[in-house]
Amino acid sequence: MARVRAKQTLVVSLLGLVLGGCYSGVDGFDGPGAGGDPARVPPGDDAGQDDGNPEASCEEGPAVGASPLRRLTRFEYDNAVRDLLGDTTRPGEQLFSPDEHLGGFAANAVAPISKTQLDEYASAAEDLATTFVQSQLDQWIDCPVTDTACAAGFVDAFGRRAFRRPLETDEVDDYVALYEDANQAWDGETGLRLVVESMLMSPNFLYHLELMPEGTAETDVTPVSPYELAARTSFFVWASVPDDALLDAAAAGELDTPEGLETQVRRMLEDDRAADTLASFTGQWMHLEGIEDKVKDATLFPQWDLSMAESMQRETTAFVDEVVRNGDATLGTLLTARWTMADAPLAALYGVAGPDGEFGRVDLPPQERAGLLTQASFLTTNAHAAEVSWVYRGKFVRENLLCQHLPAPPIGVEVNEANDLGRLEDPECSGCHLMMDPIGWGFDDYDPLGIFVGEGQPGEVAGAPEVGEFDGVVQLAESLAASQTVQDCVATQWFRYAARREEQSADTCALDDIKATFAESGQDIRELIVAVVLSDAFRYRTAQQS
Amino acid sequence: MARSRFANFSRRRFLMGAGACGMGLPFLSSLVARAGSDPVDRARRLIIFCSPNEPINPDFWLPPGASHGSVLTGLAPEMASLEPYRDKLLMLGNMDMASRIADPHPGGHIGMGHLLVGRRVTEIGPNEPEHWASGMSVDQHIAAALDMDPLTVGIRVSGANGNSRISYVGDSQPVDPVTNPSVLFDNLFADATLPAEELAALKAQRLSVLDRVTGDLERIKSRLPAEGRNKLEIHTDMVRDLELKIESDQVIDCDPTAPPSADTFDYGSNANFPTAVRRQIDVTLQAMGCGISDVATIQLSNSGASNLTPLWPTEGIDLNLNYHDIVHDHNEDPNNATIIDRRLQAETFFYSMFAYLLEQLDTIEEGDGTTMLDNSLVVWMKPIAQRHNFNEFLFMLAGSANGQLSTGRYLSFDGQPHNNLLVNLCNLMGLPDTSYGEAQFCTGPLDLG
Repeated sequence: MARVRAKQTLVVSLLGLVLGGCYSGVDGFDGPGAGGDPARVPPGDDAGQDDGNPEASCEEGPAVGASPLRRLTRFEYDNAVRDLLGDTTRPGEQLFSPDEHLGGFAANAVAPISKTQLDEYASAAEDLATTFVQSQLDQWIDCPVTDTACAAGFVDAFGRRAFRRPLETDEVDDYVALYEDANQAWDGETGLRLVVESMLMSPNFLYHLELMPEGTAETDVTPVSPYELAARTSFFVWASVPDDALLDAAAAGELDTPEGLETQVRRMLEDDRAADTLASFTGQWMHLEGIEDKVKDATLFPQWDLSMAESMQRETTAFVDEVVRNGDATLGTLLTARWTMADAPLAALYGVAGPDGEFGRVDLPPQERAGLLTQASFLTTNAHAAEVSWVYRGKFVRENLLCQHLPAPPIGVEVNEANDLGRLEDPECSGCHLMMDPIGWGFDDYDPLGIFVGEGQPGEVAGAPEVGEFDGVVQLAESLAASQTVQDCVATQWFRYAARREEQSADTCALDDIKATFAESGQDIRELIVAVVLSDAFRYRTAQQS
Repeated sequence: MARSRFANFSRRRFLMGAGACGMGLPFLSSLVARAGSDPVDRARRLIIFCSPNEPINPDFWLPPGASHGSVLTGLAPEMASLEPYRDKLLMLGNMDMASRIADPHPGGHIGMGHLLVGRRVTEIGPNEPEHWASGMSVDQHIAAALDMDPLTVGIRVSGANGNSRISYVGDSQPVDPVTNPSVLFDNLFADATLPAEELAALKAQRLSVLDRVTGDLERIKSRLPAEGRNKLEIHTDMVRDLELKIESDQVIDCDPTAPPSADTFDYGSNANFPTAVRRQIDVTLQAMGCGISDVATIQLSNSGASNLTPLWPTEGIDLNLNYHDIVHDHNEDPNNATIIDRRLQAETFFYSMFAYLLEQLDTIEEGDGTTMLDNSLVVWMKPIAQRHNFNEFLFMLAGSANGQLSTGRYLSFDGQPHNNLLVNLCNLMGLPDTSYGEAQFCTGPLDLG
């Protein structure tokens, strides 16, 4: 492993020259994000657009950026049919085309539906509806399927859950007419099956619909209606459809006040379904998806296999869950805890005694491990087959903990998947690589599987005075946890996860409020989730692009 | 007689064909392809085969003695599997991907979005790394002109972004490939063994569902801002197309054989990739032979193929290094014999997958002494040129496009934009287009004479 200690002085002096721009050595580069100079981003700010609007406008009334119309993600679809139909086959994950991402999270917000996806929805709807009427119908009705009034009651009750709002009279009539025609042509069961199938194919089910209130213009900022707010809240906190209690609260006007909304959010955070959103956020933010496909050198890492990959993924998901839902829920603990949730093989990788039972809490060597950044999943994902990756490990800290956006390499530069000190001296590369590699090589204590090998060297987070130089990831983690920039960035990441897009200038006031609440709470993730829901950006909507 | 219904509405199981677990479906050789509507003035079928990542440098693949117009007297060793079809190949060297060269969007792999589109890409958002192609791809365009649905299939295609899609119906409107041969088969043939009465009932039920869905779409459209309304209009059009297809009651005259069920075989795994490619080709060719469509794109993995690790000893390759790294290792260390050998093994493998396609096509007789290969226009392509450049591309055509092409030669195009080839594809399929993609990147069809 290359030793760079001797070069530290050189690195520091180079930093002085290149902090003016990530691409200061490349003439004429004009790619996206080049205007977002990460080195100039002041602490506490993030990578959102800056169009020069003064922040004094925060007193002028609610403001929010526009959100494009989104379809349910595969995870949301599977959770929805689980909660509506009792189905546990996960058709989205098994059969649907992959989700498109925006703001770092699955969103399905840009490309319209494709023919393939329509076929997938149709196929799933037919199968789900068929199984449902055969096995679950008695959970919904206790009247004869041949009876129209019975069917109407079902349309009303099921429709309200599936569409996340009560159906209007003419909608109920349309679905009852569908039922009646089918009941006549075939039988009542078929009638109800077609009702369910149609609802699962309806835009009211497949999209996160937010309608413009009557008489309003696209540029208006309007409150999200109570039922739409209920849906936003449950998809955010549970990654699924609202339950009856939440819909009832919407009906009763309880979501119209921050107090009523807050009561519901806190109730939902106590529900086990909150685990799903924590898992979804963590998996996407930490790039855990696809870890099972990582290739590792079989000679160096014979223990690497699917089972190990699954253990690592399970560890990080369970750790975050344990901290947030059973622990103090703080960012500090997530980044610096000297314990984790592991099975025996993973404990062995960490060099500690295994858990009680098959899986559980284990203590870690305090000089070697601290929180998420020293977990095997993170270290493994951000490494190559036989070598660690300074770029990946550094890039994660830059983009996902400091929210400092790094543009793509210039056109024509071939990305080579290996560490290379030469990039720090080549003016075409050094600007950006000085933002990543000196962080990354500070992780060299951990090999490509996350095993502690103690070959580390000091690292540096350039342009972030709160963090600066560090010797070992434990120290880095402590600094990051204490850093205002990081705390603000984590708040921003949760904002992006809630909105499924990056923040726009119109979101600034709301996002600042969220950051302030997060800070006041001592960086409590649960308070952050509540703050996001109570923010203007969550409770208001607009079609006005900013 | 089997009825075809393009929409996938069920996952019913089929009789498994003999040899279903083996490496070939014997029925193909006995399937005499339908001439369909007897297209005399065009290639009978267009099949686009997209191989991932970039080719090794031309020293390794240029045929011996290659110069513009030269006859192919032999093929490079890595293309040995294509030798039986050498006289049916047309190798096209030295085109540039001019649209990509002019595209300000960075990223070595955005050639995927340019390949069949020939336009500068559309970015998804200001700080977003992702993009989509900005127009309709040539396969979709040709299929639309011929009034048919193309078959868009892939194997081990992961992600939903510009590096994973080659087929588009419009700006930022990608077509997701169907990546599971078993699902593809069901999509195309699922109702074939249903009794007529049951099929009629199922169709009527599906139509009533789609009618109800259309009602919901119409109801809410006006309540959305323009951006959302647009999406729902596209959705509504798609639902209408589906209804029309169900109503059209198209009859096909063939006896399809299903691939092994997805319940028993994991078509998405890395380990099963070579078999999955073959089964996907089988199902696609069955569909084309049955006259379901005359246009198909077959996509192997994504642009970079970092999700392919060639641990496939039965294919003659056993490397625990993903294909993306195999390519990059060599570009970094081009003279290392071991590294060269690894890369050539991988290239050889990918050419063998193309050879399988040609082999199956050449096995199917068209009833007049010609084979499906002879009468088709098959196009081999990669989304990038060597060392992630966009100059000196290699494209290959196979088949004579129903006698329109003079094959068995190497042609060199001295930096012409690849949009020009897209025009040829249109013309060879009977369309009159004189330009494709952005006009500034197109100077008219290549001279393939």
